[in-house]
Amino acid sequence: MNPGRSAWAVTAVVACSSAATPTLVAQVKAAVDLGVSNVHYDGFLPSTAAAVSPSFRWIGPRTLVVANGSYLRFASGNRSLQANMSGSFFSAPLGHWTGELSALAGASQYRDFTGFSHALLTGRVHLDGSRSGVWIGGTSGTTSFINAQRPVAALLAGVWRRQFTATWLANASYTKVGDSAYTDVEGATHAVRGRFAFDGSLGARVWSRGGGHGVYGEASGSYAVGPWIALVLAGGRYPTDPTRGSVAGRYLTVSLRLTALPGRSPSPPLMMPRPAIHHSSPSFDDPPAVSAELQDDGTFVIHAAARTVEIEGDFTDWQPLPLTERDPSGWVLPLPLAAGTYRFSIRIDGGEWFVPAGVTTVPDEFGPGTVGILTVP
Amino acid sequence: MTTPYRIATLALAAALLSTGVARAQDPRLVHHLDSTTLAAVGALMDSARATGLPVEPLVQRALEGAAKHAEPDRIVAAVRRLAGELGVARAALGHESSPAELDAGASALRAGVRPGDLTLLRQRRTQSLTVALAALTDLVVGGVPPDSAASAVLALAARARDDQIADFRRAVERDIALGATPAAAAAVRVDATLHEATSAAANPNTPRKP
Repeated sequence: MNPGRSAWAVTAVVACSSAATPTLVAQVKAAVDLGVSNVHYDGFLPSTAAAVSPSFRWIGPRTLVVANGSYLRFASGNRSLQANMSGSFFSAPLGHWTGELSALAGASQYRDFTGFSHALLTGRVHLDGSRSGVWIGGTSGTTSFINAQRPVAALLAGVWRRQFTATWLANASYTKVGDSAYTDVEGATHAVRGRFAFDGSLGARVWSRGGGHGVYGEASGSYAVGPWIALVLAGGRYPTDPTRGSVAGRYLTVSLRLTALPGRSPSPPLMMPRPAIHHSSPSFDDPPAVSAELQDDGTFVIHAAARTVEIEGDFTDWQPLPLTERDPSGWVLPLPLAAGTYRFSIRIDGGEWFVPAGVTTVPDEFGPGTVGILTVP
Repeated sequence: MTTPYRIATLALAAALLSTGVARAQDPRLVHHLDSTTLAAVGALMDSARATGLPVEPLVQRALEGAAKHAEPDRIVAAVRRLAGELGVARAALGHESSPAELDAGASALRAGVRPGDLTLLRQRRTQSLTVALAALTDLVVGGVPPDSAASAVLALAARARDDQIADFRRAVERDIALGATPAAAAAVRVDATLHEATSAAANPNTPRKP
């Protein structure tokens, strides 16, 4: 969840709460979700995890405090922790206008590694009616990963409308984290009917530099078995979040919600349980037809079914040098290379020069193609 | 032209003036470049040599251009640009840097890494920087934002061995190829590599988890 979405989420809760039940006295709600998740991060194998997700919310006349966290233990035995806390202060209304200042801090950790942490400050202006409203705001802060800190800035604007028992929201945000930047547009709804509560969202990362692209959406439904217990089913797909360091992925969670301090509505915790980063070995697709590999013993191997394989590069004075056939699809460089970086290209059966798969490429200064970079440790 | 490049170019020009006459040409170039190109490339090599920069990368760049039948002006421009990058790399990495480190540093600069990050890398890592610089270049070329890539490699610089940094780079490339976003893949994988490096340093006899 990016800072824009976090800020939006806080506003969403306030919008729902204040529009429905003006809070002349403080309300407190605390709950914990105990469940099982199946998570599948982009580029990784799927995994199951046991999840514990506590949440706490305090809503005063002009103040909102939210804290939540999650603990996941994966099938591999590895664990993940994340926690967030936010506080919002709302100014006295000036006509239909209200100002808001929010602070958000959070951290996440996978296994025993140093993880991410972030601290954000958000200012917003709301223009609210009885059944609809708009807001615009900005976020500034920092996120850190180990010892590296990066600035975070976001601009966001949104609109909400309450209709019958549902609240509909839509927002757009531009977020910049270091030299990554992206623009998200999202729509969401929150509805309560009897013992059922539903939250859903659908969004798209429409522009990105280093933050990925794509459509995402999440849904969460709960059924209140009693005043203290609810069954919750949640799932969906969420985007990469450079602020929190989470990889895009999808999940499905079944959980039991135990409410310690029931509030007036059976709304779920502010944020859905979100698995933290999971490390596992991804599986490869079929290897490409021609690929290169620098083996541990320093042997440079070209995998290709060919009659001849030639190489030219910084180590051949850019003269074609035939490789030696080691096996039917393995061709090796017949000379040792000292540590360093080398530019090179290969050709198969006397054809065009090209760069095999598995090698870093850079633009060719002398033509429209690319040149390979071989690094010998 | 940025200030470091301007300074490097001026230093090369001053060195060229001080050497006066170009030295004997590299015999490998004689057979592949015309006389005008040979003279221009030779002058750049002389000035590089006079300032203590490695000339072999310049020779190879010229030979690469000749092998690809590039226009003479393009060959000279490529060699001149590389000479400037080597000068900036040395300014950032220090005069004790090896030719391989300077060559790798020039590639990193070309990819978009800031000279200040090269200096930080030198300060944090006592071993050779060649592999770390190559990994940094690979990450940036692979799509990891330069500041994210630099943060990751700097985090590993003090503790990780060359082979661990190379494994880290491969893991990030693999994750990117499988669909992960470059910045997130780097962030995820540096955690694992750092943990491995820390564990190995604490007890090198501890077996690794599969």
